[in-house]
Parts: sequence; structure tokens; C-alpha cells
Amino acid sequence: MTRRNKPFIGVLAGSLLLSAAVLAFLVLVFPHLAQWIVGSDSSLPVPRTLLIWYLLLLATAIGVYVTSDSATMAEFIAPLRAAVVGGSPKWQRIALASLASALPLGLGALVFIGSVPPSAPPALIRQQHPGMSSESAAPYVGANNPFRKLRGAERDEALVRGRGLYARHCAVCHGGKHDGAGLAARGMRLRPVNFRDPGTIATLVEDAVFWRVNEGWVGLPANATPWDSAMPRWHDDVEEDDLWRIVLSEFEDAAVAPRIPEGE
Amino acid sequence: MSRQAAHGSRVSAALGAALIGCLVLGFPLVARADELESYRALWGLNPRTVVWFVAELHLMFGAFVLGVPVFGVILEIVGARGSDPRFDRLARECTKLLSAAFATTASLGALLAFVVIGFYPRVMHHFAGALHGSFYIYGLLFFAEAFTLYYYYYTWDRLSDRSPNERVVARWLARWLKIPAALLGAAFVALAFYLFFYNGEASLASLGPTAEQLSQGTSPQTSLPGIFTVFAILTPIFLVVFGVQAWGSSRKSLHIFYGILLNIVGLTLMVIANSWTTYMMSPTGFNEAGQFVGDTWGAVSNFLWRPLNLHRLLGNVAFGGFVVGAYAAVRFLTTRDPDQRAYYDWMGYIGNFVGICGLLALPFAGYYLGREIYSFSPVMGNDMMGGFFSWVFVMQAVLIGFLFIGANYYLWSGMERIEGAERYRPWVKFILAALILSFLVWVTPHNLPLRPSEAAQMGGQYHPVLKYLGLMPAKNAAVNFILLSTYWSFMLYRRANKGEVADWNQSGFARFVVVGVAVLTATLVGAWAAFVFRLDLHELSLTEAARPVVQFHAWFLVAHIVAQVVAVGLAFKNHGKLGQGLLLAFTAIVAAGVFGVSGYWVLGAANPFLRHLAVCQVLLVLATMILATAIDVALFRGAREVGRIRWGAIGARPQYTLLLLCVTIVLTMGLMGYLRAGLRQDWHFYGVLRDTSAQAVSPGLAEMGWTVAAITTVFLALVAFLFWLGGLAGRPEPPASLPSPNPRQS
Repeated sequence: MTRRNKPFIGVLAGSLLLSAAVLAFLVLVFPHLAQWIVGSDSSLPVPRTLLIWYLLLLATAIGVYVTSDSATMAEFIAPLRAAVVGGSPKWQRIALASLASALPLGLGALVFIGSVPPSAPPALIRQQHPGMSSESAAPYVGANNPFRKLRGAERDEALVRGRGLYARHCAVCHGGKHDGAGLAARGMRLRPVNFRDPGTIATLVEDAVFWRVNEGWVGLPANATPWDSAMPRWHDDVEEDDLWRIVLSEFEDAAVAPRIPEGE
Repeated sequence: MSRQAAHGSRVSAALGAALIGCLVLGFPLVARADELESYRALWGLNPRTVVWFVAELHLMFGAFVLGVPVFGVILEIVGARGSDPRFDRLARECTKLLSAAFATTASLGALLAFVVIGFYPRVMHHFAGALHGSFYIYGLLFFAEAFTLYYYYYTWDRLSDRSPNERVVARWLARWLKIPAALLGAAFVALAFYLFFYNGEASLASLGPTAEQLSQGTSPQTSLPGIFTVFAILTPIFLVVFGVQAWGSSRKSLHIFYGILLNIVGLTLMVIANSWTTYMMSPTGFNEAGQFVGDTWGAVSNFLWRPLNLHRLLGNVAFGGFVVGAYAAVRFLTTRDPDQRAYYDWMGYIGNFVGICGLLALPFAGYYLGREIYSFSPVMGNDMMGGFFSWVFVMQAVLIGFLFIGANYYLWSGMERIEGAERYRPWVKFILAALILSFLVWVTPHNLPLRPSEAAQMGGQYHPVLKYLGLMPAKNAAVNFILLSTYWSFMLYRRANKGEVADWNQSGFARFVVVGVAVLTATLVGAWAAFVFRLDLHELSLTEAARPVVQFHAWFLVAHIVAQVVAVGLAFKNHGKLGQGLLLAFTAIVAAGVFGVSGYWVLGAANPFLRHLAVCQVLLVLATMILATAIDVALFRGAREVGRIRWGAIGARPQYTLLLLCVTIVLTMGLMGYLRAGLRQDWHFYGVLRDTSAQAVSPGLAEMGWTVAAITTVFLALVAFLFWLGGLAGRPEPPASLPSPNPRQS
């Protein structure tokens, strides 16, 4: 394929610049941008695993673009070839020689880092919503909130009691605003669930929330390890109806609705 | 041919013997299951892994054997109606691959039956108790599949003549049965769709024992729905009328009829086998004591049967397309003959095209299946998307990413062989950027893999900003944008060597087809808009306060209908390309942009409406792709060509991409197979019969990864071997015993 116009910037230089720009954005700009967006006290970097994924995607994109057309491929290789066989400006040769030296050095650094015994715990993948397939969850599957269909004064009454119980038992961790920022939350490595986040209890059917409130971390299934949860087991201390009232008030005050099974 | 025919007979005989052996040896074992232990082991093998391995291999071969005839017969029809002989050759070559793979599929099926009966006798006892009625039909249909497949393949030459049948009676029948055959065919397809793919509540209500019957512990015999009886009567009438009409038309028509017959038998086999799979996930007909008191039809038509039928049909087509593409790539890379290279280059393109066609529709079918799994059991649904199996979906996202990027890459690099395609090269970087950004969203999980220090820094397990990319609105927006971007790549490829479009008024009947298609797509979108406008919010546990949220989206559907009308109107004013562009841009802005953002609003203000919003997005994208394609076909009908397609003049990279696509689709199928079966966790029949064996625990991601990789390797090795084996029959035999007549030229 013939190229009619001389490009403003070469393919190789463009790829390197794009990579550098993306890396700089993800590492230097994004953490502060995210901090500014949510009004956090500290910067919010892209987690390392995600950063690696994004950079791999970038590398894939560049590889796909460059190799999907012979002319682009030739244009990409031309400066490298010129630097090796001669014919390119001196600064270009120096830049490429530096890059060529940096690559094995970088790989060596990666090998070194990989072989040093880590002092920090590794990254963990965690289940967002442990399943209800365990023995402890079986009695709760399909349970319906008896207060859900109430209207008027009866519903208000259930909500008032639920809110009171929530304030007494739950707000210390999950927060008075249901945002997972209670007084005790800062003391936990993994913060309590933010009910206002539409990706938490709003994605669950109500029986799953009721099970978690009842059984706490003790009732988590074996396959839900690691048990990163400090949720107490409430069914020994609070009546069942009151637990349903708490669940009702949680959804109501967090301004989210429980998932509803289709056809119901 | 006689040698091949003899070979086919031997294969059929071996197949029949294997099946009969399975039935004869298997059922006494099943019948005596009460006296046997629940589980058995052999040679220290892990029974679960053995069954998993064999079942997945059988499924993959089955997908190939059932998927390839779907597009094989379409290729044959295209070849018969047009003047390009390559289509007929390709259809035949695909069928040749089938004949090699079919016996292996059957053998693996028999092996699967043996290992399940051997290792899990009590499970098979329950299984046969509920579904044995379907076993016999399946076994008999397997003979029908073998006979139709081999007959279809071996009569290719004999029935290749396209000239009309000269007999007076035949011509009379061909003429007068044409319309009845078409009408019966339309009714057959409509009913088949209704029965196999429609999962409406009305039809479900008439299937399976009722709750009252179950509580009474009686043995209810669920009657087949009346429409099934109509279908059962209609099918043979349709086949006879169609067969006679095809016989009267030409030999080629008769051959195509055999191909369609092969597909009908194959699809019926697939849906029966699907029912066994889904029965384990959504069993029906049990009383509270766990005894089966239903009947076969109730068990077959279980809750997840229909969505899996749809998903597997499309999946099989995509799978078959990519495997055929890989076959073509290998043949291309291993030949130096320019004609062969040109042909296999073209074959690879068609394989990729078929694969992508299946792939474009698969996310919709997958969403439908996932939604029905949620409907059947929120526990299972939660395990799938948010619980133990959620990380499988992240892995699937990566593989799907490979598939779409690979398929697009193949198209872009393939444009090098098209003169005139350089005009569209600048688009590539924008489409690529759209794809990559969409995949960035697609692979970002809500719940991130975190180091404890990172979790402490972020103040929780969710990144306060990136967490939004992990929610359904972002995923739905991303996947719709990916589909539209891929579709746009196809459009560019299609018009790569085309010059200016001809005058719209000269596109003939195609103009009116566009109007018809527009009426169809507008009706589809309009019907859904009407449904959304009149949605009963109380059924979704929403109050009237959520009405504006719902109506906001319905008005965009109405706006899309206006966009469709404008696109068609512009086409009639000779601005068809502009109309297409506007329609695509509007759809991208609404389905991926507006609805992507408003999805978060829905999450907070009307969460249960989210499932309907996803349908809105799907409908807009589907309607756009259908209508834009119709306009494109009419627009470029008779358009001047500015260059030719130099088939064979292509580098090796695209061919290796075809191989990568094949490996990726096999891996994806293996991964999703694990997910679907694994969702039952420690249940043989979900909620009814618990797995109490030592292997009841769900395998972790690492074990799953190794097993799926091993299955993929074995499958591809077997396929390569079988294709080589199948190729032996087509090679000319060297005259070994005769000396060359002219040694100087030898």
C-alpha cells in the first residue's frame, strides 16, 4: 500500500511517544485526577495488576496497528534498520542505542525483582458476593422480607425500628450514611461495604443480604476464602424479624433497591 | 468414490455398533444402580476430571459437526444460485472435514456414556429415570444423522447438475409445489423457533408438573403443548413437499434438500443433548422426597433448555467458522501453488466471516442465557457473576477481546490484497482505539486484585473511580461499542474495492427490500418502546417516581425509529452513505454513550429496570446492523469497482491470526463449559441430588486453567490428525507398480 502524505511523526517514534504518554497518565496524572474527582485525602493510584493489564492492552494495540499493514510495518522498522546498518542521524542512533541498552537492563531488573523474596503480601483476588451454595446459606435461600410489601404506617413503623437497630448495631462500621465509613471502619484493612455503591447490595436478591447479616463471616462458604470479612453473626443476638427490618432500612436509606428475581 | 463409500459404510457400521453397545451394556448397569455404590474409581483416575475431559471433547467435536453444516449448506445454496464455483467447492470441502470428524464425535459420545455409567452409576440411574425416553429418540436420530451426512457427502458429484429436471411430471411438481414448499418452510422455521428458542412464561406454564401435582406426589403426565403436535404433523409434510419440489427442480436442488435435512436432524440431536445438560442445572419434575414424578417432555423442556439451544446454535456456527478458517490457514501456509493459495486465502476469509457473524450475535444469546440462569436461581446467578465464578468472566473477557481484535486484525491486514482499500486505512486507527478503549472497560473488574497496601491506600476493596468501569452499565456500553466497531470494519472491507455508488433508483428491487427491512427493524424497536412506556413498575417493585427514568430511555428508542426513517429517506435521496453514517453514529452515541451513562442513574433510581435497559441497547445495535447492511447491499449493487481482490497475495501474519482465533475460540468454549457445568457446584442435579463424592469441591482457577488448556491441546491435535486423515482420501494414488513411460520427464 502506498502512502501519499509524509506523516508528521514516524510510526516508531509515535508508538514510543504514545506509550510514554499513556504510562505517564496512568502513573502520574490519574492518581491525582481520581483524588480530585472523589475528594480523597490522598492520591488514588491505579492498582498494579490493572496497570499491567492496561499496558499490555496498549502494547497489543500498537502491535496490531503496526503489523496490520506492510507499509506501516516497514515504516516502523526503517529507523531501527537505519540505526543498525547506518544512514540515520546521530541523535537517532544514540536514542536507539540507549533504548536497545535499556531493554536488557529492564529485563534484568525484572528478573532481579522477581527473584527477591517479597516482603509484602501478594495481591489477592476476592469474591465480591460469596455464593449461597453453602450449608449455612441453605435455610435462607428464597426467603422473603415480610416487611417489603407493607405500605403506609406499618412500613414506616418497620423502618423506624430498623433504623434504630441499624444505628445501634451496624452504623459503627457501615456508617450513619450507609457509605461504609463508620467510626470503626478506619481500623479495618478491608473497609465495610458501602451500601450506596450500586455495585454492592443493589446487585443482590434480598435473601442474600439477609443471610450475610444473619451468619456473618462465620457462615461464609469454604470457597469464599480468603475470609476478608469482619461481619459479625447477628442471628444469635437479634430477632429474625428485626434483622429483616434492618435489611429493609438499609436498602431504603442507601437509596438502592434489591435485585428482584425475574418473573416475580 | 466407491472406496470412499465403502469407507463410509464401515464408519457407519462402527458407529452403529458403538451406540448399540452403549445401550446394551449401559442400561443393565443403570437398571441395577440401586444395588451398586454411588461412585466408582478406576486406576487412581479422578472420575470428575475424566468425565470433564471426555464431555468437553465430545462437546467440541459436536459443535464442529453440527455448526459446519449450518453454513455449509448456505454456501452450497449461494454457489448454486450464483456463478462462483468456489462456494460449491468450499461447501464440499467443509463437508469432507465433517465426515472425518463425525465418527470421532460419535466415539467420544459412546465413551462419555461409558465413563459416566461406570463412575457415577447412581447419577445415571436418576438421569435415565427422568430422561430415558429421549435416549432412544437420540440414538435413532444418530443413525439418521450418519446416513444423511454420508449421503449428502457422497452424492455431491452425482447430484451436482444444476440444469432443470427434464421430466414433464417433475417440472409440473417443481412449479406447483414451489409456493406451498416456501409457505410450509416458513411455518416450520417459525414453529421451530417458537418451540426451541422461545422461553416465554406462557409456554413454561404448560410444561412440567405443577406445584400442586408435585406436592401430591402423583405422577403427572404433562401433555405436550398443542403447538408441538402441530409441529410434529407439519414437519413430515414440509419435508415431503420440499423434497418432491427439490427433486422436480434439479439434481442440485435435491442435494441441497439433503443438506437441509442433515441440519434438521443435527439440530434436533443438539437440542436433545442440550436438554440433558440443562436438566442437571434446572431439574424439574421432582417431589419433595427427591423422587422423579414428572415425565420425559417435562424433563426435556426444563427451564434453561431454550436459552442454551440458542446460545449453542450460534456458538457452534462461530466455532465451526473459526476452525474452518484455521484449516484454510494451514493449507495456505503449506502450499506454494498460486491457485491453491488463492483458494485457501478466500476460504480463510469466509471462515473468519462466518465466525464473526456468529460472534456478533453471541453476546446477546449469552446475556439471555445468563439472565435466565439468574431467573431460575438467583443463587446460581450470583455465584456466576459475583461469586466463586466471577473471575472466570474476567478470563473470558480477555479471550473475547482476543477474538474481536484478532478478527478485526485479519480484516485490516486482508485489505492489503484489495486494490483501492488504502482509502480506508486511516479509519483503522480510530476503530482500533475504539476497540481497545472498550476492552479496557470490558476487562476492568469491579472487585480488583489488590495488595493489602493498595487496599489500605484506597480505603477499601474498590477503587473509588475505576470501580464504575466494573459495573453492568459500563460492560453493556463497552460490548455494544465493540460490536458496532467490528461491524464498521466489515463495512469498510466490503466496500474496499468499490467506487462511487450507483444511482439509488437503479438498484431495482433492492430498494423495496430496504423499505421492508426498515419496517421490520422499526417495528421491533417500536414494540419494545411501547412495552417500556407501558411497563408495570409495581411488578418491578418500583414506584411511579421511577417513571421518568424509564420513559427517558423509551423516548430514545422512539428517536432511533426516526433515525432509521431518516437513514432510509437519505438513501432514497441518493445520500445512502450519509444515512448509514448517521444511523451508526446515532446508535453508538445512544447505545454506548447515553445508555452507558444513564445506566448508573438506573442503578440508583430504578435498579430492576436495568435488565430492560440492556435489551434496549441490544435492540438498537441489532436493528442498526440489519438496516445498515440492507442499505449497503442496495447502495453498492452495481457500483463501479476501482480495483480487484488479489486472493492469495497476502502475508503469513493474517494466516497465523486465523490459527490464533481458532485456539482462542476453543479455549473460550472450554472455559465456558467449565463455568456452565461448575455452576451446579456440589450438586449433580441442582437442588435435588447432591454430589457426595470426594471430588465434589469446585476446582480452583489454576486447576481449571490446566485442564482446559489440556483439553484444548488434545482437541486441536485430534482435529489436525483427522483433517490429515480426511485429506488422504482425496490424494491421487501414485502409480507405484508401473514405471514412468518417459523417464526423462519423471
